[in-house]
Amino acid sequence: MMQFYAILKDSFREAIDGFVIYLMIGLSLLLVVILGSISYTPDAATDALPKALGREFRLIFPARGASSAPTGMPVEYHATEIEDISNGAKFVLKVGPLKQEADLKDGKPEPQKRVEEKKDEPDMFRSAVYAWREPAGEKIKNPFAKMGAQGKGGGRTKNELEIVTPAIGGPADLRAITDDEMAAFLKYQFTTFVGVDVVKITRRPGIAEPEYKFDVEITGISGARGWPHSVYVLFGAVPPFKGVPLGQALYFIQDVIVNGIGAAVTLMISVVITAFFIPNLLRKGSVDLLISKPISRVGLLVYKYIGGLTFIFILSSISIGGVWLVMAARSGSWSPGFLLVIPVLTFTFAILYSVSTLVAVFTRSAIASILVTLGFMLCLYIFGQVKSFFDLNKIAAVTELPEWSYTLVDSLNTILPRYKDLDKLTTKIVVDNTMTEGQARLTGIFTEYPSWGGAVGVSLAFIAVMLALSCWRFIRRDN
Amino acid sequence: MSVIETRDLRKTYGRVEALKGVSIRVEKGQIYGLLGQNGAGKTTLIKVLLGIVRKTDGEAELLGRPAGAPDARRRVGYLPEDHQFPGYHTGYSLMDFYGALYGVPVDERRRKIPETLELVGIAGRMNSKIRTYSKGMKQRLGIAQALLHDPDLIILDEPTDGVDPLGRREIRELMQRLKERGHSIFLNSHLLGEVELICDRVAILQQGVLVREGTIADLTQQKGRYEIGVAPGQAFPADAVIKLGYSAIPVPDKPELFEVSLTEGQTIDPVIKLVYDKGMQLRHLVERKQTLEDAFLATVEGAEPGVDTRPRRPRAARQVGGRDRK
Ligand SMILES: Nc1ncnc2c1ncn2[C@@H]1O[C@H](COP(=O)(O)OP(=O)(O)O)[C@@H](O)[C@H]1O
Ligand SMILES: [Mg+2]
Repeated sequence: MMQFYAILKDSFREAIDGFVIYLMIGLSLLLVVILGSISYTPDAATDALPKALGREFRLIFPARGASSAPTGMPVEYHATEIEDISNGAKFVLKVGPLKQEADLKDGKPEPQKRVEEKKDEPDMFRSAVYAWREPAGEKIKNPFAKMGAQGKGGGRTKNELEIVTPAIGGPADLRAITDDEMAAFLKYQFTTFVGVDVVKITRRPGIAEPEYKFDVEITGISGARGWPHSVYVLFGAVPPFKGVPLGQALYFIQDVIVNGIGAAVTLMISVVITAFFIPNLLRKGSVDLLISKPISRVGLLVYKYIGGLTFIFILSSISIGGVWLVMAARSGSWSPGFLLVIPVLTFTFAILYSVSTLVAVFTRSAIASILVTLGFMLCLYIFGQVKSFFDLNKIAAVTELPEWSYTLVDSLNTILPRYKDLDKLTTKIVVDNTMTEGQARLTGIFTEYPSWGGAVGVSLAFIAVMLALSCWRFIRRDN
Repeated sequence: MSVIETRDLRKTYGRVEALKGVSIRVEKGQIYGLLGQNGAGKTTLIKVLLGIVRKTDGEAELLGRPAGAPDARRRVGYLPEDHQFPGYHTGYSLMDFYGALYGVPVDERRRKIPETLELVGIAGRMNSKIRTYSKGMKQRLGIAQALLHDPDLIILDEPTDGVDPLGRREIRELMQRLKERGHSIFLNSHLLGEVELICDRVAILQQGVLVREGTIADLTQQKGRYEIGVAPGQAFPADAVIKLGYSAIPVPDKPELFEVSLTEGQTIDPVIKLVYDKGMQLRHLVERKQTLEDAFLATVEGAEPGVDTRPRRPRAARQVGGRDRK
């Protein structure tokens, strides 16, 4: 234990010896400051509500939200008589059947809609509440596959795209829906798709069905993930981006900027810096002394490997921790999930560093380690993209691909570390922690999220093999 | 008890036979010197003992345990030749790091590190980065790190390498003091004069073979050899001296002098008498005292230079490139 700690400390010294680490920390802090300069102000309800009530608000997760697959009903929601109150709004919500048939939005299908359009139209809003309350009807798997090429990939993945038909209520069932149930449904829609709390919701009597009016009071719009916000960058020095749902702004910053570009740059620079650790250790004149100490060669190498990981751990703790802190303080959204990016990034680096270690032990050259590791990183990235395409193709059947290509991609995926998977998993974390519940669920439907077990397990096995080979070589060598 | 014992120890690196069956035994409490030219295999012997390289054949024991055993290594301090300490450490932090690897507890390290650095004379600079140290300071630091954990046996590979003459004397005195405190010391050197001054026993390695072994006294033992010269213009009566039963050969480079060797029971007096009897004047008479260097040169004379001259990569490439020979 004392030896382990000593080697960690030694690696730490080595890491902070050069100016590069200070440059990196400086850049991280700069990023933190820039992101800290961004403020998010909730838009006025008059502007925000129409946006918030569009699009996803119409989707329904049956069984009171217990069903993860959405369905839809042609219902339209309008806010009128909007009144801004502190951190909230009061308004009248008008509900009625959707006037003109909306086409496929964003390529997201609502194929059931047409089915529902019958001559003697049932009450759409009541149907929606019914569909929400009751368990989902029949499942439709891979609707795209039926429309386009009959996907060869169909049936190979557990996470097939799944849309459910709504439960259809008979006239008596619809009649039996109470005002309280309608209120509960709307409350659910507001929390799920806008992320605000409904303080009060009462149905106005005397409105002829199928139209409905509700007096609604909502609160908690600042920090509400689905509420449109104005985003001010650089302390408001540049004109703001208006009408962006808070969740999407946060998602963009956290996933695309920090977890995407930031992480990639951090990984690459860390690969370069840490690539010198093991060749330095193995340098003639240095290694003899170390292996004459009462420590096993395996211990020495493995501890040094872990020492290299502390480097990125420190770096990502500073940057991710800082980013999280300033963004939470600025947006009021304190969910800690984003912090999970720290261990995931460290783990991703662990994969790369095991390759670097192996090359270093065989060649004792930092340059070779850097080149091979960066090359490996690129290959994993490309492979990850290919794999994503294949996965999407299984769901959406974009194009027809030969059977063997699936086999090839799947078997490579079995042995290669799950670099892309780890990235997807962090994306999922970010999505879950920034977007409204409804949006997060929708994103989940279109992405085949890998399992943590698989992503971590295969990667760990890969790391173990790399380290075992490195140790084997290190033990065998005659200095 | 012996602290080092090897029996018929062999080591080959690929085609190079670095040790060809070496048997030595170092007793506790001694300062033992291993001499030899560059490439004789001295460093290899140490590396085998410490488990840095694997022996090819034979037996090697360190402190009664098979060579390379971790529990034996724990009780050994080692100064490698051509060492390069990580430049990002300070003298203090390096000692702290190594001390921790040896399992020296924190408080003890805190107390002993300044003490030990004081002992080798670099305590004043212990908080500067090693990359600012001179060669001599690094060497002293190297010795200090080999002492920190109070080892039973201290193995020093070319300990005075790169140290100025004054520093060398300090190092010799230090070794003497360590010996008095009960440490056994094993050192490699090609500096014979130095070894002669401090070692109790020495062994001479030549091309991987042990050619001499014994106490300094054994190796430099007098056989009775004199250099004799007569007055200019006179010819030394070599033939007559030989007839008396002595050997007399001209001293190389000094044609006017002859070297006369005695055999068991002889004295030089009959030769002096002979010179006077011949009516010559004695101008030069010196008893040749054999130094370790003489003994060494006598041993290796005529032998090929060290194995080191075999074709292989130039030495400089190894050091600068940071890569090893393989
Ligand atoms: N790692 C190695 N690989 C190949 N040959 C080596 C290696 N180390 C030493 N040698 C060779 O073994 C011989 C003995 O070297 P060494 O033990 O370093 O001698 P010394 O310390 O007496 O100068 C030399 O010929 C040297 O070239
Ligand atoms: Mg040597």
